Amino acid sequence: MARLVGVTGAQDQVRALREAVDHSPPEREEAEELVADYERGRWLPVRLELFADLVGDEGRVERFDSIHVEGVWFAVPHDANNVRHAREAADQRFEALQEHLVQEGFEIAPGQLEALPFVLDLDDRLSEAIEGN
Amino acid sequence: MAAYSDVAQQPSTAAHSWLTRSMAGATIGYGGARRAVRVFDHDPDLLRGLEQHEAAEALAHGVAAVARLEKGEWHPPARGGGEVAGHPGLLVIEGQLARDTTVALAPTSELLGAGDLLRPWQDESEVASLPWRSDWEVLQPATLAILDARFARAVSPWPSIFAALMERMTERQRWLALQLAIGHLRRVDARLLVLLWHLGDRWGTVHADGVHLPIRLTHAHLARLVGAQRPSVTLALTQLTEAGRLRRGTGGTWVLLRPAPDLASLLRKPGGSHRDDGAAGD
Repeated sequence: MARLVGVTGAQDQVRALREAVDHSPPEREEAEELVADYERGRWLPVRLELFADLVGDEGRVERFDSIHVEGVWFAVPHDANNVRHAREAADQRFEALQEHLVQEGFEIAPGQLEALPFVLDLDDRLSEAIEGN
Repeated sequence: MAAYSDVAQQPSTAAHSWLTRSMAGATIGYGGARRAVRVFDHDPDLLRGLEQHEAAEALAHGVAAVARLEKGEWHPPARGGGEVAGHPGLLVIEGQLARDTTVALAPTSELLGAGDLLRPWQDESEVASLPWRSDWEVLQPATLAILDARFARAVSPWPSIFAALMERMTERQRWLALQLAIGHLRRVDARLLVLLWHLGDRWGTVHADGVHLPIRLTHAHLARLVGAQRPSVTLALTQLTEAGRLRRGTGGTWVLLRPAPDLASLLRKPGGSHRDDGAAGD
């Protein structure tokens, strides 16, 4: 129930890394290395969109995808750590999705979304970008 | 800053041999041959329970050579054997070290600092049925007091000192257990918050606005401490800062803003948001 879309918000995320000037020296050095790796094509900023496909009263499947997570970074080429990172980023926002669904009239208990299978869907542009070819 | 005695204090020959081997190939400045410290000047808590006159006497006898470690990898030889027999350990006077343990490419880390007792020659990985490894890294320049066999004999009239040292080892075990528990929290921001407040309990100073934590760690290191991916730590720290849980202090330190987090609010509450403990929302 998550989709990673294209290469969006890249400049904002890169700017955030560059602006780590008030961080401690180890963090500044780390941020500089990450920016350098990004410029070498080894990291890709992505946006995570959380969605849930639910069956409504009329029996139709409806997709709710209002929760977005910026600040996600994928390593190039794609590996299992990217999936772990996506799941950890999604975990931060499942409650917001649950609250949104409750507002839409669905009975979703806290924790219920996290217990469902987590499916990661990469859009075509992102799939091509993170293969590192 | 280390205080040096007027009397030249060298570590025992065996300890000197082991330390010399441990410094080989590392960015280490071993200045112990001519420098010593009165250990209890730097760690008076070890004298807890002693009468004043006993503490004064222990203070005078509790002199140990020091080793200075610069930032970088540290490769102490394992299994010191007879060289370090009877040596209580290396007491961290100042600085920051990490001991990373890796199983099948999955690393975790233990953070060590002032007051911790190290026994780096004790390494069980060599006799393990399944392979794992441990590595040491000096994160911030460190000063270690060499509590060798001679030191042990010098302070032997005061058994409470050894009890205090054993208490330090027990504390390390308990903190590692806490770290294990932290790793079971689902959300990375919750793991980080609990970890940072725990580190604040150990090394922070209390101010009106919160706890100031003079810890300088990369996000990669924080990730190893909480069992998460490095980018997830960066994301969670940003979210915690925006939520008013943390802010940067001077010199890159962390300020843990009051009130301390309510643990129940870090977990899922039926029908409630994790923000209902009063912290700023998204």
